[in-house]
Amino acid sequence: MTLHAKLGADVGRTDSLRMADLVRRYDWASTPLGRRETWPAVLRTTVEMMLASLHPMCVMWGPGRIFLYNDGYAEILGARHPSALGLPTEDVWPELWDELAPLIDRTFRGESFAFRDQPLTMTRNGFEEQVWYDFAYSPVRDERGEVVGLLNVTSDCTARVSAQRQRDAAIERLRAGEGRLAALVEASSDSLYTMSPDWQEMRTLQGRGFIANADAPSVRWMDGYLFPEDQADVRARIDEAVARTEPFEMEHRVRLADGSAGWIFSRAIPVRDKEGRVTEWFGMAADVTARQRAVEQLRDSEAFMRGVLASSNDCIKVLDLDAKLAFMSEGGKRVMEVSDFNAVAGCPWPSFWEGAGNLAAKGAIAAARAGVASSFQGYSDTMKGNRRYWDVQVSPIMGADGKPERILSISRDITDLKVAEEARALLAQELAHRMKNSLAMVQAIVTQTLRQAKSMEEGRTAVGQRLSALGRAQDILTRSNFTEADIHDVIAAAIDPHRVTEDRISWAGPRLILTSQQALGLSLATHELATNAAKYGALSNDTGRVAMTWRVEDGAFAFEWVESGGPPVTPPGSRGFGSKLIERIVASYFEGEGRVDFDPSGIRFRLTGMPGGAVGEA
Amino acid sequence: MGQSFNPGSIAVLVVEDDALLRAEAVDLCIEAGFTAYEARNADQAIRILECHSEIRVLFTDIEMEGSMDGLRLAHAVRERWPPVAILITSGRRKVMKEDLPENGLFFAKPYPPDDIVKALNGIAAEITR
Repeated sequence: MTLHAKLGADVGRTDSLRMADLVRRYDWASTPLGRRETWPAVLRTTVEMMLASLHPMCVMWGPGRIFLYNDGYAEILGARHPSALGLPTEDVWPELWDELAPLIDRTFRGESFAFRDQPLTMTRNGFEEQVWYDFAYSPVRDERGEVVGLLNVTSDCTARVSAQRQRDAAIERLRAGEGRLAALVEASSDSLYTMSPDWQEMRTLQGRGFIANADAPSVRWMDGYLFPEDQADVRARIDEAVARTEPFEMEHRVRLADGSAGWIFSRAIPVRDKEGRVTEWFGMAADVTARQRAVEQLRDSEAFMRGVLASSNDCIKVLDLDAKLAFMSEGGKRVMEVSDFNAVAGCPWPSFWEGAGNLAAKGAIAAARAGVASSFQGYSDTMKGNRRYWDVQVSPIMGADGKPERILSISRDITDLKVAEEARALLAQELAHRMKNSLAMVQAIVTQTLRQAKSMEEGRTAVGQRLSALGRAQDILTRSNFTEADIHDVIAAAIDPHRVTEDRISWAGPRLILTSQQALGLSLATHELATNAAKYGALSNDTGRVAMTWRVEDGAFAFEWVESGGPPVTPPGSRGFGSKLIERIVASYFEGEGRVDFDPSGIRFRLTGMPGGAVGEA
Repeated sequence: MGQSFNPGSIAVLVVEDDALLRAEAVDLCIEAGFTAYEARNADQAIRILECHSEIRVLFTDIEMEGSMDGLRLAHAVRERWPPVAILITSGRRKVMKEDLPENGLFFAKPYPPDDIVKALNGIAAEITR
C-alpha cells in the first residue's frame, strides 16, 4: 500500500482513485507499450472495453505480457494494486508464474481457457476471507489475425460455491444421519410398528422375535397381540392419545410370539404431513417381561415378608449401629403394647431394659457391632408398663461390604415359661424337702417301733403296717401337692385295711380340710386304734363296732373313737409307741390333747384341738 | 460304754416342730443317757434355756415357725450361753460351715442316730475333762 499511497499522493485523489484515471495518467512511455497515443486500435479498444466493465478483468499485452486491469480486478490483486499496473505479468504473479506461463503462452497461440471455482483468499473487506472466482482466458487478435494480447474475464462465484458446499455438507449429514438411524433401528431389540391415524389398522410390525411380526396390514391386530381382558384398557389409552394427538405411552401385557403372556413398554408418536394432518403413528415397544416379573416377584416377596413379620408374636426390631430403634414388626408392637411407633422410634434400645438386662443389652449391642450374634434373657416393661420376661437374640445385619450395617433384635415373651420354670424349681425344692421329711418320719417310726418290739417278727409286722398307713395318707396328700387333705378321705383310707363287714365301722362328721401333718398324724392314729381293736377290742370278735365322729364347734376340733360290743376291756400293763403316737404326737399336730379311756364296755379315744385347715359344709 | 462321766447331769434341748421327729430325738438323747428337754420353736427354747442351766447342748432343726428359725436360734444361744454346744439338722438345705456358730455341727435329715449319739458323747467328754 505504500506505493498506492505514494501514487495517491501524486494524484491527490486517493479516496476515489479509479483505474481509468490511473491508466490515463500512467507513464506508458516507460513500458514496451509506448505512449498511449501510439497504441494500436485493438489495444485501445480492448483496454477501453475492460475499464468500462463491471466484471473483474485484466489484460496481458504483447511479448512482454504487460499487465493492465480494471477496478473489479483491483480487489483480486489486493496489496499488489496499484503497483501491478504496467508491470510484466511475471512480476505481478511471480509465485504463480511457472503455472501461468504455459497457459498464457498457449492463449497467445490462439487457445481459450476457462478456470472455474478458483479459490482465493481476499482481504477486500478488511479481513481475510475465502472467495472463489471463475477465470476465462481468451486471445485478442489484431486486424491481421495475430494474437497480440490476452483478455482474462473473471467472475466472483463465491456465493455459488459456498451454497454448493453447504448443500453438499447437508446431503452428507443427511446421509450419515440416515445411516445412523438405520443402524439404530437394526441394533435395537425393540419392536417397531406403524398404525393408521385412528389406530384401527396396524400397518407394519417388526416383532424382533419376542412378539410375532405383522405380515400384512391388519384391522384385527388387537386380537392377535392383546389378551381379551386387557383390550379395553389399552383401547382407552389409545383413544386418549388419538383425541389429543399426543404421544401414546403405556406399559401393558401382550401375547408373546410363543403364545405366553409378556409385558411391553410401548411408545408411539403421530407422524404429520405438511398440512399438519396425522398420516400415521410410529411406535416402538420394548420387552419388559423380565423386569415386570422381577417387580411382581419382589412385590410377592415383600408381601410375604410383611405377612411373616406381622403374624409373628416375636418382637422383631431393627436398630442402627447406635442401638437406636429404627423398625419394629407389627407382631412386635402387639406384644410390646406399642400403640404409636413414632413414640419409641429413635430411642436407644438398651434403655428399655432394667438392671442386669440393661448391661446384657449393652453387651449384646457391642458384640453385634463387632459382627457377633448373642442372646440373653431379662425383664422389660411393655409400653403399658406390664412387666415381661424376654428371651432376646441380637445379631448383626451385614452390609454389602461384609461389615455390620444394622442390628437385628428378636425378643420373645417367655414370661409364662419363666413363671412356670420358677414354680417348677420351687416345687422341686419343696418336694425334696418333703421327701426328706417323710424319710425322717419313716426313720422315727422305724426306730420307735423297733425300740419296743419284743421280736424281730413283731417289729417287722408293726413297721410294715405303720409305713403302709403313712403311705395311704401320702396318696391323699399327693392330690393337693402335699399341702392338705379332707378328713373323710384320710379316715376312709386309714381304716380301709381293717374293715371287716360293711356296717361294723362307721364315721360321720363335717367336711374338714387338714394340714399335711394332721392328715399323716390322724391316719397313723386311726391305724393304731384299729390295730389295737382288731387284736384286743371291738374288732376282735364278730359283733363289736367302732364309731368315729368329729365336729368343729367355736373353732375347736373334736374327734372321737368309740368301741362297743367287744370283749371286756382291761388297761394294758405298759404303754408303747402306739399310745405315745395317739396321745402325744397326733395331739401335737392339732395343738391339743389326746386321751384314751379304757372303759370296760369299750375303748374310747378323744382328740381335741384346733382344726388346721378350713371347715367345709357337712 | 465305759464312760467316765455321768451323762445324766448333762441336759440336751431338742428343738423340732414335728412332734414325731421331736419324740424320736428326745428318746435318742435319753437312750444315750442324757437328760432331754424339748421345744417346738425358738421362743419355747429360749424360755427353757432361761430356766435350766444344766442344758449344755442345743440340738435344733432349722425350719420352724416362730420369731426365729433354727440357725438364728443357734447364733442367739451361742451369744447368750456361749458354753452350750450346738448341733443343727435340716432336711431342706445344705448348710455351709460359715453359716453355723463356731464349733457348731450340722447333720442332714434323716440322720443316722449313732452320729448324734457320738457327737453328744464327744461333747460330754469335753465338758467333763
